[in-house]
Amino acid sequence: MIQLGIFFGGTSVEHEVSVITAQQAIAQLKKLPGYNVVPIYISKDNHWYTGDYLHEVEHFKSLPTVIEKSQRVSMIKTDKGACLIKNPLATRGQNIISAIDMAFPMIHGTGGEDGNLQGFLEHMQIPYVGCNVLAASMTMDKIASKLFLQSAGVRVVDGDWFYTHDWMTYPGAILDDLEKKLGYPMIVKPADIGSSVGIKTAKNRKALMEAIDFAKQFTTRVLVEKMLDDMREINISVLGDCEKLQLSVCEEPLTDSDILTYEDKYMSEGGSKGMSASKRQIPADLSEPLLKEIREMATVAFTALECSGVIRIDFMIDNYTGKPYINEFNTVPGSLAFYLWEATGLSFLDMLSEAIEAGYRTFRRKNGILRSNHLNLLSKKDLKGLKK
Amino acid sequence: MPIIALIVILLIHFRGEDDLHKFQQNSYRMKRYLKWRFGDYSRILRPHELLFFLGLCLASFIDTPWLKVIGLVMMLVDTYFFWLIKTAYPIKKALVYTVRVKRLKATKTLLLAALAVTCFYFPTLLFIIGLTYFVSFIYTFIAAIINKPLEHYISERYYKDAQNELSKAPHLNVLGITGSYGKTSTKNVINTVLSKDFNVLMTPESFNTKMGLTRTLREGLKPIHQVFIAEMGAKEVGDIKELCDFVHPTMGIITSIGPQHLESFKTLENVIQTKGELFQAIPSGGTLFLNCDDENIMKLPVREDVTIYRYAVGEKAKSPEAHKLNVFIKSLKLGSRGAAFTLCYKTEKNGTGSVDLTTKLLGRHNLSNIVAACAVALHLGVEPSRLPVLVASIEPVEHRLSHRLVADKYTLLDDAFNSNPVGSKMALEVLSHYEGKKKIIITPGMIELGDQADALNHAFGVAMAKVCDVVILVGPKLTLPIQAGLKEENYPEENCHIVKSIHEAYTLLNDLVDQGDVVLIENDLPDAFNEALL
Repeated sequence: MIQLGIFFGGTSVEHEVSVITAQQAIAQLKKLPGYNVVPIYISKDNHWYTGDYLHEVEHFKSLPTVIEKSQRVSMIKTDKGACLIKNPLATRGQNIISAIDMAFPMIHGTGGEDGNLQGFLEHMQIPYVGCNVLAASMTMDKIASKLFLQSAGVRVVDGDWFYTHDWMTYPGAILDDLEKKLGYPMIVKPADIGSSVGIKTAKNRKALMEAIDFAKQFTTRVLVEKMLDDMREINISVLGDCEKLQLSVCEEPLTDSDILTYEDKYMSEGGSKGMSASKRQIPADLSEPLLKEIREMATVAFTALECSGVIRIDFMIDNYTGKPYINEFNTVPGSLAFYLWEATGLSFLDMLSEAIEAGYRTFRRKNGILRSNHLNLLSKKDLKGLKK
Repeated sequence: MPIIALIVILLIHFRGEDDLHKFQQNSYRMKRYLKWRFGDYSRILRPHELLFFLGLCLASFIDTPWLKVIGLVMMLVDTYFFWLIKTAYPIKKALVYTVRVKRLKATKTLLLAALAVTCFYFPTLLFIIGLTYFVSFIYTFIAAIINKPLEHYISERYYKDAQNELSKAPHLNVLGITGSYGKTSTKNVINTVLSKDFNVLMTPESFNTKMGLTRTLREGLKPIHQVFIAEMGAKEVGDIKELCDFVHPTMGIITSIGPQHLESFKTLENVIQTKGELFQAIPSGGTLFLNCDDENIMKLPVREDVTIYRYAVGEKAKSPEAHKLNVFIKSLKLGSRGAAFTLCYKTEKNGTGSVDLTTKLLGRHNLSNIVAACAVALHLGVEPSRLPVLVASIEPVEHRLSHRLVADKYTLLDDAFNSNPVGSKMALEVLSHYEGKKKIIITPGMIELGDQADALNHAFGVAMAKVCDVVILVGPKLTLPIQAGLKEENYPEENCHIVKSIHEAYTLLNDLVDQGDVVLIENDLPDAFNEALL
């Protein structure tokens, strides 16, 4: 059996969302032949836990109980992959809980989607599903991804950014600068936090100041963008890797306020059903040329960043010009965007299977290239004949 | 005097290091080792060892102390000569201190220690024990016998571990590869072609025994692996069956059946039967890949209950319908930098079609490997349109007709790893394609061809005469048949050089080679066959 470690929870503000995403996925993965699911829960205080208690979503109503009834673990590297051992180590009995042959991170936000976990898994030298360190960290940072996409020739809205410490020293100058460069209405975002936390719009100077003051609680870098005040939101999911990918149908999230807030996304009547419960139009009503352009932009962005697994790209269509802009990249989308794939005709399980295959391809590609040198530069013997 | 006995035993121990080395090179097979030892008298006794004998007599029988000391000095000097001769020639592959060797050495040391103690109590035994210096290999032999049960226990444990690893991989397809030659190169090509689309494990280098498979599985097999390519080697009837019972292949490919390892197989019929064991072992519903270019393979009984892929690159490829070929080639262009051809397929899975491929590999035999790899890939579900990119990524394996430019001066065609009649024929064909300057060949000929050795080496000599401008033969005795072949073709004697070792050959080469020449190194034998080393 292939031991598939599912990471969920995490230290970000989307901890509970991740629990739901994982529970939905685990229910499917249990049906995949040849795989044994090993749930690895990362608590809010950044400890890792595993155990049978993690298999029921109802148990997560009380997080302290989950921790109490689970086994705290660490992951170590073994000859053929990785394994989970008890933490702290037991003085008697077996310390090895389970081998982990492959990992599937399902953590949203900082600590799981930003490359930290991916970097760790790279060290473990096991295949994992999802984007690598570069793509994950780049897409987590709104400023970096905007700059990268602009260079890759993908359309994004104009924006500017600054440090919060500079804001606190020269607020006036910054406001003037923004007004000159961008003009109202604007939208203020913390650079590196997910799920619409800390985001506010501003139609005038006073609102802008308030918005920036609000955002600076969550970050050290603030991004201010030109806001498209009459726009539609369109999301699309991409599955696979830079060698072989597929695109899903588009969806249009429907909401009353100008943008989907955290409350909209997760605290509506759908309750613990996550992204699949909020109101949306699938497939979105789009003209042929617009759909084609969106699909092309999504493909270019996905391959430029060398993404892998299943991701969701959020677009904004400017209703004045009809042009699409990429707003956001989600390398671990809520509920793994399964509802988009079901609408495309690919079952949840098949989609997960594809994501796993993409993970293998990435791993094989990485292992197929020469990365280390057999020569010992300090050994005279090795250098004999090479140096004059 | 006990001190003399102790020193004699230490000398025996010293000489024994060499014995361990040769034992390792004979794969720890006792019969093989003994046969090798007695194969040449110089491997037991050398002229200079008379000195040791005289010294021993002096030390054992004469009672005068100072004469005893002279005797001892004579023995020491003689051992020094032994050491001098041994280290004068750089060793190609030194003794590897594996755990098994360490165990052997420990047992041997204990044996010698026991001997030392005996000598202490029975000083008259000195002469007899001194005589065993000349047959010091018996200590290695006895140690091997003593260690046998322990080694057996350890290998059984490893074997069970390996079976355990096999059971942990749920999606594993096992492909067994065997053949008289071409196993390793076919395996490497199949591995490269499949590795982009599957998690593949293959037995590394030439690990094709039960122990080799065990080690590969224990150390390398992970649950995520989807294909395991198991190279299966055989020296005796029943070897392949044993390996098949171990790893249970569902796919099988026989690359060739020919006169290889005839010393242990004795007859070609036995070779055919043993390779055929792979075909028998594939379960119903499995898959077989048949190399239709090989006459002997076509003699094997065909099974109705497995899927068969027939492939060919030679004459038969010209009439695919007649031979019911599933995968074959057309429009072949061979050159000194590789080949280009069209691969045609006609299978249940992929229908009928063709795709153009190019490769960096040299030699007609490599074409066969590539076509076999494509057949396996198609069977496992790879799209035909993907084959060009997979085949283009195949790199030549070092020492298997790989080529490189040396010191910006001459091209080296390196076919040093194990030669066989077909391989050497292909290498000469490749050599003949090079235009320009001198074509030089360095070879000791081919071994392990049983009673066909002379005939096949003679034919090699004949073929060489037609292609090569300069011939350097390694091993005056070993290459006699080749020399006869050259003579038959009236090959100019001044162009044929005979040396004792590969190192001498390289020295000679440096003097002879010019800008733009091509040098073919065909087969390179382990130290055990080095005529200069004894």
